[in-house]
Amino acid sequence: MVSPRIPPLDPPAASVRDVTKRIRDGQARRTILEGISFELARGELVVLRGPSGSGKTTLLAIVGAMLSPTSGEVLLDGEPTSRMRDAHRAEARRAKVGFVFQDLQLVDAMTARENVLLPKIPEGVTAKDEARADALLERFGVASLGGAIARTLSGGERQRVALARALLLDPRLLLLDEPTAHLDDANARAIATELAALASDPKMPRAVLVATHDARVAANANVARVLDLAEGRLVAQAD
Amino acid sequence: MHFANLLQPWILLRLVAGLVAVVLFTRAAQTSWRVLRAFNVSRATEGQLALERRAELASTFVRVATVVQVAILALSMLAGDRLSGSIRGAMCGYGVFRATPWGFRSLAATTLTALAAGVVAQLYVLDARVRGLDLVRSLAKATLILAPLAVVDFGLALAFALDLDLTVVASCCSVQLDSVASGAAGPTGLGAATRIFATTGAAIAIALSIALAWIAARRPRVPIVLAAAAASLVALPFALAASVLEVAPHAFEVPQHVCPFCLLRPSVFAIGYPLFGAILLAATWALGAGIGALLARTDASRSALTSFARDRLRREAFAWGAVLVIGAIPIARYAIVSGGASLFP
Repeated sequence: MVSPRIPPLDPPAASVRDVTKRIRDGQARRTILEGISFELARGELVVLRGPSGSGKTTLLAIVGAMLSPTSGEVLLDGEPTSRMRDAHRAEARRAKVGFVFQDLQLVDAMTARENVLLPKIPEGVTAKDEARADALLERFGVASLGGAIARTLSGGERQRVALARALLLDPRLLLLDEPTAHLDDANARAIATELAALASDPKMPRAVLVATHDARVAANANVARVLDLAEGRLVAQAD
Repeated sequence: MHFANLLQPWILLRLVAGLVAVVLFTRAAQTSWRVLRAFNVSRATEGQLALERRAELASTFVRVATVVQVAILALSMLAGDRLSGSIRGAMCGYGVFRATPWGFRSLAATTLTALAAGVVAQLYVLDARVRGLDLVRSLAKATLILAPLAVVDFGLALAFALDLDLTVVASCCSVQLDSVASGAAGPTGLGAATRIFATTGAAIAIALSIALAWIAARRPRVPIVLAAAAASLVALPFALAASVLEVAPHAFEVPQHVCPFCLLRPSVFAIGYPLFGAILLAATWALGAGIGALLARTDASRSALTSFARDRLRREAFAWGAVLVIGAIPIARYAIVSGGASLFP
């Protein structure tokens, strides 16, 4: 009898297990996050919601392997990155995570295209990378601005360039911090729709986690779950 | 007890450096002790994660302390050489170290500690390449050995410094060593045979070490890495013996002058520093690769071993190559200036 072939289980793009983050504040220790656990599967668009100071940005940085938790573990594709040494964690972060910062962190003196190509500069930019950068700029509707200096771009255009940069290395996990903070209604809705499309991309489904307190993003029909964060604790997970 | 010796700049520098090494190795040993008592990689508690970060810090302490310890070895040789000017009869560091019973004991302890620290520091380099925490416990055990070694080394250096009487008339190396070595310089007998055996053995063992290191660096499998390390271990005493029995007489153009400390003198361009330094480095890199191969038992550590062993074995091959070249220079020079005549009758 031939036994059926069981495909290997696909690990979640990110697993957050009982994560706590404390920092020293003078003599005292302040708890920023406490006992946070959740998983992000590929193809999911998840919103992390909470008021300012609730720990959204810290949690995003921990999930994205930019910060280490005080206790608990973060696994990216099943690999426990939070306890790796810095060099290995940076390697894993580069390979697996795309990050769009709240202030975007574009290099103002560089062109939009050069900003998108930034992640490839350490190992050398190839013609293939340039083609991918152009394709991403086109996908986000800013192809004509590739040669424009970043500081001359509008808020919405800068947001799209930052998104293109986060996707250059084709990460399986995309993290965005307040991506619609400075956008008008039309741009905010367009970004939310784009994020949903990125998550459910049939060629490359990825997990997308958006930290926001913007109701326009959470209201998007394609949002799989909303994680509510209050005072460093996950108070609700709503589908 | 000659407490005034502690104010001699070279002695003071040597002792301060020794104290720094003791403090750093002891600090690393404290963390290693905690690791051995409480480290449990299956937990992700606050205490465990803090311990993992402290283990990283211990690795930095060991690496810095190793650099200090190697500097101490060079400093000890240099101090011995410089102090020879203050002791009547002493022409080089030999007379200084032989002036008290603690001199050579102290130098041996410094050399042993530098070699051990060098090997452990190599293992920390391997550990840094491992994606997990597989080697942390083994390294904690290795680190615990270094602190007592450094303490003993410092104690012996202090005993040597306090016991050293700068007013005595010491024996010159040529008085002590040349008479012992006159047999080695002779054309026949056990002495000449010893010199020829050491030189031939060194040439063969070093050539074999280079070949094995080069082959192992291409495909670093555990058995061949171990073979390369073993070859280096054999080459080490042969290289030291040949430096003394063959290189030194040629450097001084005196067949019976077999003093390793005179090789550190400016009159022979201080050739002893690069020569003995290259021997120490070659042995350290080879032993690091070999012991790393023995410790790497998990998939993650085996995977890291490949690039680590390749890198260390290449360095080892270059270091042994440097030993051959540096050692051959005085011999080649003598052959040229003497028109091809043999130094030994």
